[in-house]
Amino acid sequence: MPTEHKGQLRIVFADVLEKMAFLFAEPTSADELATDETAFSTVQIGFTGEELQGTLALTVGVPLSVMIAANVLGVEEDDGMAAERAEDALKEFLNTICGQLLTAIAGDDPVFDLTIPTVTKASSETWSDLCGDPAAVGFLIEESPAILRIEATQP
Amino acid sequence: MAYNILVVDDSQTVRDVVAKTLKLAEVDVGELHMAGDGQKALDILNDNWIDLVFSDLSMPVMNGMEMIEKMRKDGLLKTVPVVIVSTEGSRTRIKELMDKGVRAYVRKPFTPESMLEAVNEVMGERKDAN
Repeated sequence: MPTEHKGQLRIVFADVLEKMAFLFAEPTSADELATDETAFSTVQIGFTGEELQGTLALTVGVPLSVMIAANVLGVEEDDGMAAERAEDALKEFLNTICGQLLTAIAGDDPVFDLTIPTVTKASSETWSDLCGDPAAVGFLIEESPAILRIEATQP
Repeated sequence: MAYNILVVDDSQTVRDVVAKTLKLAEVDVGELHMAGDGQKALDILNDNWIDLVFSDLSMPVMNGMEMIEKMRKDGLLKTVPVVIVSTEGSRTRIKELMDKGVRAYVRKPFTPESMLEAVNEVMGERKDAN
């Protein structure tokens, strides 16, 4: 992934996280994100444009997904609604990041089609693999790790 | 004057956040209806008096663009103003939406200020027209 895309991704991620969930993201290298978490969620979205296409994926521990949902909804983390809506909130969060990122990369002229985001469970092994992935961008959010990964190619 | 509002988005989270944001913006909301796709939205529009629609674009079953096109072909529904709330950033696509009759566009992530601005822009126009 081009270096400038990683830089833009860091900026957009932090901006959207702050505006949607009132949380702050501390950029860190993905190889510094070892964690004792055992349950993870990966949300992925695809994008297609004339000059750029690919996927954007965010992997977080399940507790962080609940925290994000709670903050987005304006409820306490132990409110059952936060856990119930965690996956839905993650999808919308990534959807918003993707839209803003594509504008940051390509400007506001190109048209992109986005897929409806999907969420899957991820294992500790997947997390370890991501930590070693050079295309991954890492963050700490309230000391919880998050990894973003973008794959983008020209059609 | 209280507005009857319909929020259309396949995400329950977004529907709730739009509702909360309208409240924070001190928009005077009368009845608040919600739909998860364009078809459900049309069903609500046909059964209720709705003053303003906030709608996403990308939804299953019937997306926002399809919903707008169907509204424009209906003698009554074509008068109901629609505000798109979306991640869309393309000027080309936004122009296409405006050409199809969308009255305002709010980009995600939205704020109470941007939602209030859209309400005032659209409903202020309606007051002037009346």
